[in-house]
Amino acid sequence: MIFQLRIIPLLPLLGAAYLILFGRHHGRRTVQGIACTAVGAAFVVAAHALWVGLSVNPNGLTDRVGTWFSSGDLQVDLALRMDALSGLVCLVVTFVGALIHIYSTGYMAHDKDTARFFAYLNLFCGAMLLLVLGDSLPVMFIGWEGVGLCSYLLIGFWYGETANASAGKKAFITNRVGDLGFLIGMFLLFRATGTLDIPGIVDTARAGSPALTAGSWWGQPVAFWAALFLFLGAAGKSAQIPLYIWLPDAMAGPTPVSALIHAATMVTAGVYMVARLGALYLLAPTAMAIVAGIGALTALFAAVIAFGQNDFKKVLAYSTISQLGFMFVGVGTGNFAGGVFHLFTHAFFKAGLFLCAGSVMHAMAGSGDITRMGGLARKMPWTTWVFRVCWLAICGVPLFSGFFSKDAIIAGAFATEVFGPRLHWVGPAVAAALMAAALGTAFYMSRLYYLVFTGECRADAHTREHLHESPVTMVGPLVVLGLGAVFAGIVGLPLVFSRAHGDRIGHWLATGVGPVLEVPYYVEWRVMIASTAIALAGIGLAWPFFGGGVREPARRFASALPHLVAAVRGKFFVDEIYGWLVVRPLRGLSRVFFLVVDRILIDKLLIGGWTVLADSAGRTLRLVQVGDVQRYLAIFAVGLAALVYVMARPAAPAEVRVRIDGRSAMVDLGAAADRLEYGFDFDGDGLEDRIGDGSSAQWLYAHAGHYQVRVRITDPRWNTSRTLTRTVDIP
Amino acid sequence: MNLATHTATLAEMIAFAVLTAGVLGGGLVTITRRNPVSAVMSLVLTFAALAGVFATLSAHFLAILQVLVYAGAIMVLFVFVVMMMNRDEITPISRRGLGTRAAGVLAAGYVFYRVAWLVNRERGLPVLAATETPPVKDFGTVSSVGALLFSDFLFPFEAISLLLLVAVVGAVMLTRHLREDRVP
Amino acid sequence: MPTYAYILVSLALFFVGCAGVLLRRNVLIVLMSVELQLAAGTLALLAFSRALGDQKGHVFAFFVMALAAAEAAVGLAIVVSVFRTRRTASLDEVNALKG
Repeated sequence: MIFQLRIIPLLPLLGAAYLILFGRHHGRRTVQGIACTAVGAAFVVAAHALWVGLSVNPNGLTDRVGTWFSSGDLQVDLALRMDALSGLVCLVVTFVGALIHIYSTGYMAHDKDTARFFAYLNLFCGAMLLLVLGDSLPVMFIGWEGVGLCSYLLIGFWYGETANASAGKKAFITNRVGDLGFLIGMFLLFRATGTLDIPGIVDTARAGSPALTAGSWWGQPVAFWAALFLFLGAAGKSAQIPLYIWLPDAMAGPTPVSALIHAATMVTAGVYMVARLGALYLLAPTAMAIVAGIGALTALFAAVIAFGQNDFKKVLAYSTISQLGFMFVGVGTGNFAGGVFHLFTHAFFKAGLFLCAGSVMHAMAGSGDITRMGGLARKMPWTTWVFRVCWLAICGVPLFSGFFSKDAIIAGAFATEVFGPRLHWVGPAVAAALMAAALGTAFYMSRLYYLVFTGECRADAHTREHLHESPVTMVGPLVVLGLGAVFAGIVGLPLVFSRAHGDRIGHWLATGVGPVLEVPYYVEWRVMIASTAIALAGIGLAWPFFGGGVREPARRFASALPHLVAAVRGKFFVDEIYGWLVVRPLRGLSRVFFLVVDRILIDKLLIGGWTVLADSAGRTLRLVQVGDVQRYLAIFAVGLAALVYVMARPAAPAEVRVRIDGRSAMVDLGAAADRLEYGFDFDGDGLEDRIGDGSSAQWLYAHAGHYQVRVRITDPRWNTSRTLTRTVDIP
Repeated sequence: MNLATHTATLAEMIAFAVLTAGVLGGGLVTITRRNPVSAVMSLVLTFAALAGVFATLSAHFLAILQVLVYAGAIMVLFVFVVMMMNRDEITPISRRGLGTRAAGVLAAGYVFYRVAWLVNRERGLPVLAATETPPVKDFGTVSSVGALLFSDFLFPFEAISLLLLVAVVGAVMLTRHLREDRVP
Repeated sequence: MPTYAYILVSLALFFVGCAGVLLRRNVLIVLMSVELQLAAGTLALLAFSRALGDQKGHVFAFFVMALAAAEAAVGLAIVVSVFRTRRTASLDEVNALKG
């Protein structure tokens, strides 16, 4: 094993650092070369590590870089692990990442900010690799946050347009909401298991430890809540209901960014995380039901919205949201291998679809409006063929990759038994929902294909003249991805086809995610036949509506149900609802804070208060400056008099002791200072009863009672005196 | 140190009383005159009486100097300036800030009262009870004081002449007419 | 006469000078009151000088006199200068340093 695991994320991170610092000084070719080499090298190292390492140790390779921090009971190491699961995803990230880097050299050829773009792309790859390879939740969280940051940076890459910057902000903030869930989940897990290392948590979960299964907060164990909060984080990162709203807006970024981040890698981080902590989820069937339910709901909801979108990338964005829903159903039904399998195939065909979109938009001078496209098949053959392949894959047409992965999920959902007796209906329910979503997928993807590539071109003459196929740097990666979209399904052939060679991926991942979900053969066959029918039905249904352009039935539908069409096109106004429910109250609250706290409290009171204080102090002190010398001298004299008064007084005695002995009281002032006279008044009649040089005196009281004894010390030289009083109680 | 005492003769007491009354009375008159010229005249008389007091203290040299320098030179200076100013005082004691100033006077009075009491109380002290002229040869005469001035105190003597030079130059500088002041 | 008598006179004379300095508004009267104070100090010096038989007091008094002369000269020069610009000798109106 030549390389250490840390090299894999380190290469792109170093590339990013170098390009950020010095990229400005290099030419375009150099910058692109550095970036592509970094990711490409990472792929090679990862492949090598996977090949060599896992043959040595099936549990995976680890690389402990050092202790990150330790505090009390908690110790977090900066450690990486490559096992079957993380290795596979790692390969996907680096391979697709490298392809998209190459694609970007062509796509961003005219952009002057090359260094910044490739630096961010490298940074993203590095962060994603940290996320995937991290062996503990905090390390994964570094990557989690890192990809969120890069997403923000890259969505708003052309920050000159306010809309782009806003989209970036929206993505980041929505992610943050999810991250809160991730953090709470982390805290709960630490409290229950005492560790944040993933192997530690997984082992604790596999052992069914009571730390996780015990406890009952609102009737659910700790494992449920941890799983749920972690899923909230996943929902934010992977654009599920209710935190998917950022993904369509994210299409404002450059298309390679959409392909890499918002199709193939970052958005899959949530699925990856759930698969990684699968053992934890298995302890909480209710949580899994929620995960699967939301996944199915999202899949269906997003598919419907995609029906009405007229921007190429927006259709693909909602398609991504929908397909992520499929993945979550997969992991939510305990079919971790199935979910990851779909992640794998989806990376290929979705990235391929996005890069085709980029190619088309490149030819259409940056426009993505499909109502202005049409008939592009003639002008852009390569792009069209790759698009066709990916389209068929996503529709689930048999023998393409998407067919196998989707089937794995749907069949697994029907056959799963993780939900227990009470919730056993969840499996079939989500499976049915997914089949409906699959029908929708086929429909809207076909709509997209027909409107863009078939029929007459609806663009204006100027654009039509400039339609051209993209350069090799863009078409090359397209073709590779297309090939992947076709053949990637091989790794997951259903067992019905071949007992020996089937479900390779499932067996491969077993070391990482647990045993394969067994699906009965008859379920498998039925699902395969049903989904084939659904795919063909969807493709066929779309033809009369959109074949060769918007046709009569589509127009009649639109005019018959205008409100429905408007709602779908307006994405069911979810953004507006959020704006009303969340954004407006927050704005109002911040306005209150601004007016009350900032304006009044801080500005007027705390700052203004000090100025008023200083001002009034100054004004008061000014009264002393009268400019009248005689008054100054007068005050000087007064001060001098005060000084003389204080200095000329006789010193106070160190202590005054009063001793009461029956009816007689004695007052003693300690040593008598010379030249001082002492006068004692015992009975409070104002007359001195004892006068002299002695510093102590005695008196016999006639009656009992409460008396005030006054002692007067006189300095005859200055004619000054000091009086002390003591009370005496005679019993 | 000669600290001999004898009871004062009647003549001495009368002389002391008269001269002291002249000094204190003259002082009081000086500060209460409305007219500055009257004040100056009164001050001259005060200094003259003071010279007499110096004489009873066997400070003959200083007594003559008092008359020559103080009454003779300084007061002449005052007269000149008073004449130049040629204004009559309307209110001898201004109302402004009178409270503060009066308080100052009272405070000063308090201080002096205390010191006076102390002095009075301790008048038995040898230094405070001495009445004899010290048996030093030519005590207080020009020659003996002069001898001291030009031997032990030569440096301060020269320094003070420098000081007088500075004062003269300063006075001239302060009061000269600048060319811009002249009205053509 | 015993020394303490002269000291008491010196105190009284100094007090008179203080009163004049503090209470009179005419700057010339004030300067004259300052001269009174200086004279009182000189008197005390000479009284103690006789009591102690030391002529250094006389020398000191000589210097005080010279100083008084210098101070009177400069002080009067200032008064004249101020009078020239402001045409007043009243301390009431010379308060440009009033804050």
